Amino acid sequence: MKKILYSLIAGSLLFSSCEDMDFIQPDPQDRITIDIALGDLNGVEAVLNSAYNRLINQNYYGQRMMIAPDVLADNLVVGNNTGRYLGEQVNQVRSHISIWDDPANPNGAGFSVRSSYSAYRAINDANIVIAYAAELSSEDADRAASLEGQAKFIRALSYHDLLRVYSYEPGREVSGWDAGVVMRTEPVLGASGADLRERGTNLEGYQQVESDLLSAISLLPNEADVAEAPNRLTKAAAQALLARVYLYWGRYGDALTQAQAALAGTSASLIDGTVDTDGNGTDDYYDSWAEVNHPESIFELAISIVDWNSVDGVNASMCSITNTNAGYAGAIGAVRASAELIAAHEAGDVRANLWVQTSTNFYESRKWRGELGDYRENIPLIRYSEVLLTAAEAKARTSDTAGALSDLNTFRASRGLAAVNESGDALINAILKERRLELVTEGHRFFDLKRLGMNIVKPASTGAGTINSSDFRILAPLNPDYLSINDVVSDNPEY
Amino acid sequence: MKRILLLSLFSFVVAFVATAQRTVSGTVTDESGETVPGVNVVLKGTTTGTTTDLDGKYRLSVPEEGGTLVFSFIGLATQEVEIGARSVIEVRMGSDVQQLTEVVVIGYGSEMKRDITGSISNVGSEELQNIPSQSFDRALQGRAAGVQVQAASGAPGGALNVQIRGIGSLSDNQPLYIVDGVQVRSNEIAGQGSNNPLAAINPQDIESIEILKDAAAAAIYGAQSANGVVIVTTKRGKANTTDVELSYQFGYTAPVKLYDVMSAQELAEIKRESYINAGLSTDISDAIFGNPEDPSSFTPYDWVDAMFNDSAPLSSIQAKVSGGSEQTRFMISISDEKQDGQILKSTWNRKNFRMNLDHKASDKLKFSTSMGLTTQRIFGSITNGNFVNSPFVATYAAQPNSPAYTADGEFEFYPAHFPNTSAGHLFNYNIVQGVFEERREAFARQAIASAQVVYTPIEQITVTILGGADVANTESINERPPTIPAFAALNGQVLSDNRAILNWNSSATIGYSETFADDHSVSVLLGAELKEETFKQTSATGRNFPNPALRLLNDAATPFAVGGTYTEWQRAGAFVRASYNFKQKLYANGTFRRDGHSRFGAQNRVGDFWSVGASYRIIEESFMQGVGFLEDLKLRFSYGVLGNANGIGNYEAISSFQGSRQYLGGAGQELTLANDQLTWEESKQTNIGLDLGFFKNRISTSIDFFRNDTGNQLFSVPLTDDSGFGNITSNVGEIRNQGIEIELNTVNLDISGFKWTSSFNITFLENEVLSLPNDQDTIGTSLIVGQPVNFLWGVDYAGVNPANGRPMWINRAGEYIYGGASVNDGYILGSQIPTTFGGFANTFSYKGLALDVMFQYQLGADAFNSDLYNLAYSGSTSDNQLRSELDRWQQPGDVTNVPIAYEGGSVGGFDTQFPGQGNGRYVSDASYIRLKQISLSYNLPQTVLDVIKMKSVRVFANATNLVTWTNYTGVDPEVVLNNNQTGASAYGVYPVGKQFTAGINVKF
Repeated sequence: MKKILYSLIAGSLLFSSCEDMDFIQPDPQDRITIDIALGDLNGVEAVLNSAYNRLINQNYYGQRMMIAPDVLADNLVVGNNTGRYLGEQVNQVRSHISIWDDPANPNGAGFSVRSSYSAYRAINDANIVIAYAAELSSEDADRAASLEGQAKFIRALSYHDLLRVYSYEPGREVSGWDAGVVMRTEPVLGASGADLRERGTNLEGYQQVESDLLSAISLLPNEADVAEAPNRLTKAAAQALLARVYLYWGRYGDALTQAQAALAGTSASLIDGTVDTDGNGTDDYYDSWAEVNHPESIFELAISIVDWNSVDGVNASMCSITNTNAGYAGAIGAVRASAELIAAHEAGDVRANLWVQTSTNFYESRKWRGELGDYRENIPLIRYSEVLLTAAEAKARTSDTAGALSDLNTFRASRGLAAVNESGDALINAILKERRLELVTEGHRFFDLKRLGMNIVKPASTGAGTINSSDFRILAPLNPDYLSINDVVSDNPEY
Repeated sequence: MKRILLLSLFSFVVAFVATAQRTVSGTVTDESGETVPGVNVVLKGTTTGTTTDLDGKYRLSVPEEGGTLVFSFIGLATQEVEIGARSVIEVRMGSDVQQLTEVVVIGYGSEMKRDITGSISNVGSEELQNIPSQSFDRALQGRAAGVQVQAASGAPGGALNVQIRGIGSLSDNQPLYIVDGVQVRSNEIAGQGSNNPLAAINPQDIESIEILKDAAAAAIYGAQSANGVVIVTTKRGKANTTDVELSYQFGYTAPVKLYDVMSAQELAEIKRESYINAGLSTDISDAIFGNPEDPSSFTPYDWVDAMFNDSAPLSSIQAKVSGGSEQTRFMISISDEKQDGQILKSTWNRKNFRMNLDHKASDKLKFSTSMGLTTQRIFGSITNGNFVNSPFVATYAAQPNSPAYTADGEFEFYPAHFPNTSAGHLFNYNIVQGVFEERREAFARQAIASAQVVYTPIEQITVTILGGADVANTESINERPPTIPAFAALNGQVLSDNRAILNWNSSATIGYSETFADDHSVSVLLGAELKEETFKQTSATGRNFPNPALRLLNDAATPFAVGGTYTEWQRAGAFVRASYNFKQKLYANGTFRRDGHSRFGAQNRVGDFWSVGASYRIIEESFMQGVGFLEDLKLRFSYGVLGNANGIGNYEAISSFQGSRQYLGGAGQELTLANDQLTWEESKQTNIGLDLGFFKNRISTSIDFFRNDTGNQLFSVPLTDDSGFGNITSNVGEIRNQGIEIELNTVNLDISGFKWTSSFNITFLENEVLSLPNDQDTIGTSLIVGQPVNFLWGVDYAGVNPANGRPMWINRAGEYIYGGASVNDGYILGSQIPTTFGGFANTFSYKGLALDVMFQYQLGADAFNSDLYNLAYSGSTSDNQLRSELDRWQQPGDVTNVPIAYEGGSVGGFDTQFPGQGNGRYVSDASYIRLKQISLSYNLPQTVLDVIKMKSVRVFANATNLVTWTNYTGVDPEVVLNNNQTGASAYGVYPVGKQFTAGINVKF
């Protein structure tokens, strides 16, 4: 019996000696704590790099944000049936762009979302940079300002993208639905920061975007001082984005001011597509799309070889989605031009050369040629052409017909088209037509129709008729899984 | 001093008694009349004894006045025979139905089965004998109540999933596996193919497997015991004999079932119809699929036939030598097993070496070591996903009008009609070529070894020190040669992935046991344990090779990607167990263990786990003496709190940044949200059991009622996505598993050498989420309070509208819809957790002949068959379709469940297979009963063995998975149910195969 007692005493000693077992210390080699990670500007810049990289995800500007707006509108239809964009081409209920949360495959088939992605993830990265960069400005004031400016641009871009997908533009509300998106401008650094929030109004969203971009304009260096431009953000890029935001907002005068500032501040210039400088048999416009950075780019996202796993190229790249095997070996050719888009080209339009007919009614784009290998290429986000057409539209809408015509005809000439002499609605329609033809597969068409409250006349081959601008399907739905977690947020009408 | 005195006295008495002795001799035989060597023959109440020789004969000196001889042998019922005046006593021993004195391995020790208060299932070497199961977990299938074993993959050597008493955890449900004291890793170790580290143990080397199912049995393992514990003990040498055992078996594997897909003619017809219905030109469909009216426009081809092999060979050769002296015993075995899978290239090969040594330095000091060395080579297949390069997807989906080979035997470009039609079906991937030419191979080298010292200073005290390691080094290679068109652009790609896993544990225990005043037995065990696991991985990918034959990374012109990781965790624990029994009638025990784990934050690192158990052998009571038909009656009770720390990352408690992404060559870093409050999952487990034996144990049964409430679930809780984070690991919610387990063993017939025994087990299981974080009732559509953890969500299929051929579903409000269902329209379609499962084994034996027939079943579960997304789209897709889709709606008035064929599948703005929520059309009842095992064996009779001088010769034949009864629409309900439960994709699973083998086993 004594022995039992001894054992118990020995046992209790054993247990008391390991009260908190602090000899067990996790020693991770693959991570560092927040104070080390954000202790200097290098660390802050690493978070900014992550934010940039989120933009190239194939659910965002890597593919869907570029292609879906054309399929949801009238530019592109499904090419080969790979399961991709089948719902989008007929504006099927719930087939839309999904950048709010980490979406499941929007339509079940084929498209794989590689890493968890949402615009809000980029926003949180940006929020971290914005919160920490200024504190470290004693280390290098210029660098801190630039980091903060870049982060503010990325935050503004992400919020504007959320707003144009999920909300009506201020002044374009249908039945008074003015919900914006959930706004967060402080970084979430712990679970407690992830409180449940309702959406702000669309106007509040636009005001936040405007204020971020105005701040970015003052913080960002001129393009001439940015060695990595156009792959890195500059003052001109922020002005160009702000011009786009004002255009959506209907603040045409402000849009013009910013557009002109951007055009003046960039070294990018309009390509003359009517010449074949290198004498290779294809015009300079066609050739421009094979350059690593497009000569018109004010901001262009760089994709590195390490950004993709081995199947991202064939599965989800711009190149593979838009070309068939005839354009790039192995490409899947999920989308092709609608007959209406092809018909919209006037004789002599150099852009028609980018549409190659590979079988009956099958015109595929050669804009995205995977010139970096394995379907890879950089993604132009803001081009000189867009800003010039923004300026033209802003002038036309602020009654500067002569100025608008001048910009429009400068642009048309560069694309091999004769000058026009329109005014009023016809002038605006001529400008919108140029936007349609020029910016196809760059993520604009659906949003241009939406911001102007125009109906979508679907390509005849889809059999989907006309989608009225007041149709609830114009706004994207929130994901049901997200709604069950955030139960204070409102979904868009009729979902 | 007292002992010496006693000993002298004893010697004296013995010497005295010896003066008046005589001899008894005889032969011991078993029921079939065969002689039994090695039977213990002991004069009751003395230490006088002997064992029978090779011919079953014994000779023993006994006192003049006689006494009682006790004959005992494992597997046979112990017999006591009064000597009387006889000098020759022949004994025929009957087989033991349920031996209460059988020794059962428990945590850090062993116990008589009679004395156990917990719930323990036991599987012996007979059940594993000569069955071509590559790993022991497979052999557990259907054998033990409450233990659900499902193949995670039917690939040879593939992984399995073992769940003890349901799904208690949202993070990890794997039990703790202990092999000869080594706590081994059961998760995948290599990067290619389905691999199972437990296949490192050759099942033929296993002596016994114990499954600890309740708190009383498992609490000694504290932190890792919530999911139960599986203890594997390998065979060891026996003293004073040398056995050489050789066995060989061979056979083949065939698919259990294949999808029945359309012929080229049938597909051409339905495709033309789908183009017409969608208002598209049939010129296109005719160009792609051929003109159904002109059979010369297409070449029929059978992809399924080209891919699947209905006679994939398997073979196994094994050799074992064991024996030794009283001091030193050994067991050495080697084996080589090869098995091909049911599809091209799929193969598995294991070479195994085992050496177990025992040495008795003195009566007080014993050493033993166990060591197993294994290499596994796995040529894997792409499974569990809707991949165009997965044979289980693409083989069925490939268009049957496009051949795999050209006329001169080269691989044909897929689809053969491609250049004319721009149809990049399956990304132009010729699946037969892909499977042939892509190398997906894993090599695993594993060592599981332990060493143990047992010191017994005095009879009552045992000190045991054990160290064990489970080491794995694996190399996985994926080569994608440029000859496959999809990889031509890369000019070849080679991925090499190397992993090194070191996993060790050491423990020291001191045990004390003593019986006081004859009636009070007490034992106490005190111990401490350390465990650590480190995992290191390095991978590299190279592209652009000068020649397809050059495949080393060094030959790559383009280094493409590198990867690497290192992670580790530690656990330390101290424990005490005390047991008491009164007259082998009343038992009580208690266990306490404190564990610390490096995965948790400093304040929550330590967890306390405990259990109490009691049992009452009513049969021992005097008032039971008159109840002659009852052989055993025992009540058991246990309650305890056990832990789980698995299924989460090693550093979830440390808020931190990790390298992630890059931009313009600048490294990126990303914040990972951490939860420093993270702590153990805690499982409160109650068990009430009843053991009964009737008619000399011809009928014996155990019935257990259990309830496990597992709280503090380690769960990745979704965060509101607008925070920029998807989720965070937290301790949330509680899950209840409760049920009844019944094991019933009967001897149905035992007449003149013919014997029929049955072993039946059934488990009724109820799984329910009791609570969720923040008092939520639901988390998305994945967890709902009051529902099982794995349900299927969606809208029920209502068939096809006869007027227009469009599919309809029923929403939550009971309305018929064409699609566009939101989450508020969905509801639970079924549960993926079987409510009933078990096994039923029968053995028929006559003389040396034995027939085993074993069924395994799971009932009450539904499964979602994702394959139907591809194969049941009524011809609206480019994929080949199930032949049953021919029953599609064609004209108004047609009543069918198969919707209209409509190219693209989108009719009137709604897709015909995505109603917005889960499609009830693809849900089916996955209950099944499977004839898991039939084996027929014949042991040569002793008379023949004597002539040929062998100890035993056995020939046998086995059939596995011979018949499956199920209504499941897919190929294999077992693997799909497992995948549904573990979250793996139900697309393109690798189904289990049928196996037929025959072999011989000789011992001399």
